[in-house]
Amino acid sequence: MRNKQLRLLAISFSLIMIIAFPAITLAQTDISGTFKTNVIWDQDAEKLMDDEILNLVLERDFGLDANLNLDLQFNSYRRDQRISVNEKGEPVIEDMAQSERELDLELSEAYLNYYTDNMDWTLGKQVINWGSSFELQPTNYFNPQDFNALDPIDAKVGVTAINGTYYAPENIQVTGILTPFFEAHQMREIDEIKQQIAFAENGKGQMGQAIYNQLEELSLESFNQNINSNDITQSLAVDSGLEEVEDKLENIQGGIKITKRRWGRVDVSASAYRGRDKMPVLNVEEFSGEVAELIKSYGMYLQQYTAGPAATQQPMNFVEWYQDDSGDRVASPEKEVKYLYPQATRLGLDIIGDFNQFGGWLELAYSIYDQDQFASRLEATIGLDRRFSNGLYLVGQYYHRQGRLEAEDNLNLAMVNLDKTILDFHNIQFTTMYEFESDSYMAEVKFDYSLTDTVTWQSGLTYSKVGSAQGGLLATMGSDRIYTGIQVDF
Amino acid sequence: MKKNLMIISLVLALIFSSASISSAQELSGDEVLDRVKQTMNASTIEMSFRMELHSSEGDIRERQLKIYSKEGAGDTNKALIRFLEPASVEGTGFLNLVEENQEDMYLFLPAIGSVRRIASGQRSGSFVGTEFSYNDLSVLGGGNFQEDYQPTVTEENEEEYILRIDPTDESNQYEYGIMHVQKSNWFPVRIEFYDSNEELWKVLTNENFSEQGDYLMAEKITMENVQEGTKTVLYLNEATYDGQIDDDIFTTRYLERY
Repeated sequence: MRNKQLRLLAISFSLIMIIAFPAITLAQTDISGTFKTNVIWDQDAEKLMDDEILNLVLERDFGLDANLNLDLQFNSYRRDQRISVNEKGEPVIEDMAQSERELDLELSEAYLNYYTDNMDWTLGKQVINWGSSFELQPTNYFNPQDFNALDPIDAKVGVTAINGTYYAPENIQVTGILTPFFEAHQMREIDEIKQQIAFAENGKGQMGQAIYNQLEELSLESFNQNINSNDITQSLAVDSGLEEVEDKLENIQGGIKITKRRWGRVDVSASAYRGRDKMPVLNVEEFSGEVAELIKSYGMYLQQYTAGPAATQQPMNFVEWYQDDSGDRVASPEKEVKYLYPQATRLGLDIIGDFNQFGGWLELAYSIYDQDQFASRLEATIGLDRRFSNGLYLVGQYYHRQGRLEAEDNLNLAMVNLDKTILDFHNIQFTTMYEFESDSYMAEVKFDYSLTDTVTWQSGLTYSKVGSAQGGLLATMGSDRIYTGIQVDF
Repeated sequence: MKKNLMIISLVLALIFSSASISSAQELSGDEVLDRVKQTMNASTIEMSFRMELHSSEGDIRERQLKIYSKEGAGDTNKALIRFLEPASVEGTGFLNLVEENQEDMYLFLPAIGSVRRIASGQRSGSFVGTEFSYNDLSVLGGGNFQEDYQPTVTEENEEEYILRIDPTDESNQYEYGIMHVQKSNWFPVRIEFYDSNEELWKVLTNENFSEQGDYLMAEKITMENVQEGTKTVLYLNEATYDGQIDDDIFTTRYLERY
């Protein structure tokens, strides 16, 4: 709600600036931008979609010491699914007979730059680029990603921030950033509902498995009653919930980075961050309570069938007993699994330099979570790049991310990117990634054909194969697709 | 007999006199490059260019760019190149810093939004789609070839010195170059660059000379890729020599500020 109000306020402010003061704005404001239109064939959904994005960038200088930048984004797309509510009041995704066109209007960036002798300030909604790695940057603490974008890894979402950089002698710079409002990874409303449903399924599965594991650990005599984790999972009705992050003082995120450039043949940055993960995780503490209640119910079930009058009866399966209204259970089958954005302190290191004929980098971020239920984790990249004299640009990178929970797999991903100017003005890019844990891979080809100085015909093809249900990063990166479109820069 | 003796004496005199003249003008490769540098020995240069990219099919793309260059004490040299047009490349910047035998290069791409260090391995690569490599750019502004090449005079005639220039840096993409230096103005009018197979790869041509203050400048610079039939042409719009250029321009801070 707050975001919508802020967005409306910012857009209104921008439009007032443009419309009400044309003499001032048009005379001193640079207007530039990009228009992109794409037709996308989604092979998995077997659907043809289209997407038009207009970015209108307004820049106004206030002398040499300050300038204002506004980036208004208009996104028009076609939707063929909608959210409806079923008899139980749960949201469900419904296919529409006829697709409808939607228009989103957003202020992607809106910031003021102010320069003093040794200090640069950037105030407002902005993209903060920390990290030297290729696309996946462990020290990119502040910007969420836009999972609606054609290329979600590369699509950083602006955040409202106060950003100050002090330039010290000896090529040292110190950057401090405060972001008052939390922003999670972005997706469209319908995708959020899909995520909630996925959360519920995932949480339900994990809960069923946890109960089963604990029953097994208890080695109860009566545990040989054809109960398996799926039975338990089926007996649960799980609601997933997401703990929203409120706009409170304690939820302000902040970070500091010290960079030393030209230190021998490397640039080195050390950083620290205090804030929340952008990707939610299952709240195991609450979840444990739910499991404990179910275990208690199981104890009562055993007691009922091993003592007293019921002991002589043919014992009911635990799941049947549990679902039977006449049962004496303590736990409700209606369970709620909560997901949250965990609070963490992160320490980072980023080194980029020259190594023989190659460029190389190492970027690390170590997260220490406030809550004991989450294990401290390391996120790291190591990579090399080289630009050959024939114009080929080659990147190889390895990415590692540890899980926050026992149930959350580590992520190990190898990626290779080739980029080459061909036929004089045109460009072809090939990216492939392989994720070890889930045995998933993705290959993507992009081709940019320059029609004029400012008009490019773009087309691409993505093929991915997700090896296991928990596909990790690649599972979130969209489906097999072919797209083609035009980009106009002005 | 007397007549024959006179002719022989005259010929010998001519031979000795021309020999003494040529030995007086004979310069080493380093001395020729010193003279080349002196013609362009401005402490600062600020230039704006129109750039044309020509495809092998005859298609042309245009760019506008600005170059700032500053020589400091010793081997200190700084240069910044900024693309101004068209919108698709506007703001793209390149910073080259040479100090105490260390060379650092940084690239700013507005789409990425941050400054990125370029490794030496990338210096032989094409500079944003042009026929110039990053290595070529480092000699474009000031004509300081001595930092990157070892020269040897291979031929001299009335109009020019012809030098073989061998790269001193292994990251340089060329096997060697043949440089034609015009004696009348000590300008390298043509440089042929050869690939590792010793086949002609690119030709740099300087044309349309004009005096810009105390200095001579080529108003048209062409880098032609002979093997692919493509070329990049720079047309000089404006040049200012020995003006005041703030050192702050040659910083990653300024590079990022666009």
